[in-house]
Amino acid sequence: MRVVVATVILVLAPRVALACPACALVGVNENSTAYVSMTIMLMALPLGMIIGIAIWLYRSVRRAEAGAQVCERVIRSARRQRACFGPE
Amino acid sequence: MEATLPALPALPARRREVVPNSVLGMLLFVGAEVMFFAGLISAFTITQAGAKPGTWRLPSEPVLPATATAFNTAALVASGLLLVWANRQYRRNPASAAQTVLLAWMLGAIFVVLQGREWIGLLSQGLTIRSSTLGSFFYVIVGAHGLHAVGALIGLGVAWWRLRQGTLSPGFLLGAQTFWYFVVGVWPVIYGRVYF
Repeated sequence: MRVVVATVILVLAPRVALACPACALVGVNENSTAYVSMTIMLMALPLGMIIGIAIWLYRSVRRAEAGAQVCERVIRSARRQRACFGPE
Repeated sequence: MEATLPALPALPARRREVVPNSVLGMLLFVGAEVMFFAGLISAFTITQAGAKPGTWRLPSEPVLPATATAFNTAALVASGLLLVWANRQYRRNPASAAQTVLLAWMLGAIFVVLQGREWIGLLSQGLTIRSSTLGSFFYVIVGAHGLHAVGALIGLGVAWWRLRQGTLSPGFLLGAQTFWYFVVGVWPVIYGRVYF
């Protein structure tokens, strides 16, 4: 009985599982390569842009903060000098 | 008697503009435009790969002039590089960048004019938007890029005019530059994919 059930399942099992409803011409090698490469491109492009902009913004903020700290130190030092020696 | 320092008032917390709003807005716009062109290129590639023999380009249609377009491409890339140089000049001395921006604008305009001339030639030789699949894709993709190039040229022209008048804000120049870099950067991809 088991052998019969296994044989029926094997016979009825689909040979090709077509997961992509748009890939009507899958099988033509060049076409499937085009589908795969363009899918990868369309997936990677927005992620790459978002990551790129995030890194650029992070670096810009870091640079601006470093610049602001230098400015703050200069202002404080100028105020101290004025407090000690009075205005020129 | 020891002199005591008066307590320093805390520095007011100020909001600093790290990235100009114009650049951030332009980056978001350019991101959407990159995806627009990626969709077009993707459709082009998949349709070309799946086209039955003889249906992609009709035998009576001309071959796309890749060699002649290489010159246009060189002009556009040179324009982008000049704008990078103009940006450096602007940081040192804003007035000195006007000539370089104008030169970059002129090279961009040359690109648009030569592309227009190429279109006239192709139309007269029988490659139209309806003649074949290649014709449809060619005019849609290259036409969309041409429209973007014209828009970017207008922005760059306004930037140059304001630079001459001394009323240009760094944010406006950076926004116009970002858009132009997009136009320059996306073209080699279109050229490499569509013309060959």
